[in-house]
Amino acid sequence: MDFNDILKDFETTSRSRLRSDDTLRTEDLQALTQAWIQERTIPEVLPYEEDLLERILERMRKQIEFIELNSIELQKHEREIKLLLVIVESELDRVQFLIRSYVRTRLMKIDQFSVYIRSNEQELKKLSDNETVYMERHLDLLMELYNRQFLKNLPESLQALDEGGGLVNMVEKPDLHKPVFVKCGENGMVMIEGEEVELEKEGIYVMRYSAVKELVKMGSMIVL
Amino acid sequence: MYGDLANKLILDAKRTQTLDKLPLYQQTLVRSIVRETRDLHKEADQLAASAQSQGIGLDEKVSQCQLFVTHLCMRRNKRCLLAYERLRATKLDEMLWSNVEVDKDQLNNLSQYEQEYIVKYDELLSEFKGSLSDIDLGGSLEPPSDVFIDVRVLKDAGEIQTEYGVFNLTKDSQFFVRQADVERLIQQGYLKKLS
Repeated sequence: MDFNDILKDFETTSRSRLRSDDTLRTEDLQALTQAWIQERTIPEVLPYEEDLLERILERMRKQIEFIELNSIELQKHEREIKLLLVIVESELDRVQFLIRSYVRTRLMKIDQFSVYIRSNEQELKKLSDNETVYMERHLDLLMELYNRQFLKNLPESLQALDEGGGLVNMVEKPDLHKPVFVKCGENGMVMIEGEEVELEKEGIYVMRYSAVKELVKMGSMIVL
Repeated sequence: MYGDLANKLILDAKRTQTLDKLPLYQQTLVRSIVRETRDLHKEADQLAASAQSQGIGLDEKVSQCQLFVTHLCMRRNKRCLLAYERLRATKLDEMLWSNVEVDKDQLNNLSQYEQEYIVKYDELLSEFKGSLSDIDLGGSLEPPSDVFIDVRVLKDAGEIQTEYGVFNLTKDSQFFVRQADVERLIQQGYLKKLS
């Protein structure tokens, strides 16, 4: 091939790679934001976004390095670097907040529904390894506390912590009938108690999570 | 009346929900509820035994009702005990998550087992927070607004070293600092953010 052709080829591939890197970054950030919103709105625990978080954490570490390298020489630098640092730090703060809130919301739900999650294979798959370890140990600690505090002094028939029947179920399940706000991606229909409800594209609705669960999972509806 | 003691416990728990710190652990109340439950259990066994020995009689509905109520009371007592303990444990968890120091007064208000629970849960938390060490999982759950903020010192805390210099924290002095650095001190109550 001609030398010029090789150069042109190299330029286009490297530029397209850069562009896709940038778009990947923005997409990832949007995905994180959406995952955060979903986790906070939806009553049940959602599958853990392992890969997404890994990528973002990796970039975060690079950003932290960048900030540290540049702050050491702070006195010598122009105002531009200082402004750049402030902007980079602000963004870093925000991403950290998103991840923090995401993880803490999940842990709150896990703590609430521990006994239920533990007994259900499907729910267990949604947790990361760290979260599973946390849940098991926390449950152990709590049971130890209850037992030593009073449970072992009660008659044996009352010592179970996962009684089902009776007036109140001891195992707390996520309330899938909680209403959520959703926005439609495309026209569709939902079945609610035997009736079909038509959904328009770009329309915003509030309905029970149980009705729209499948559509949200498929991605044709976004939770607000 | 059966269940009155449990009621008292629940009222205490309800009051605790609005407090910042946990009140004294109701050791005697808990013990009496446990005793009441054991007595109820014995009664229930006796009722069941006598119902069997007497066979089906005119009092069938009455004795069935008696048995039923006894069982319900036992279960209610258990529920109240668990709810009380769970509430206290949850409050302790929250404190540990936000890195709030559990001071001597608070420790004295806890039962022996609760104190052990704190130590172990703190361990669990440190491990978990350590796995994502770049992000301070115990940090603020409010979205960050500014990079730099004005803070006022609430109590003397000596000298604090940050990347940007040393700050001498004397009461009522004001500083303009990076939010991320001082978040921990704000959580622990040494600094107050000025809006």
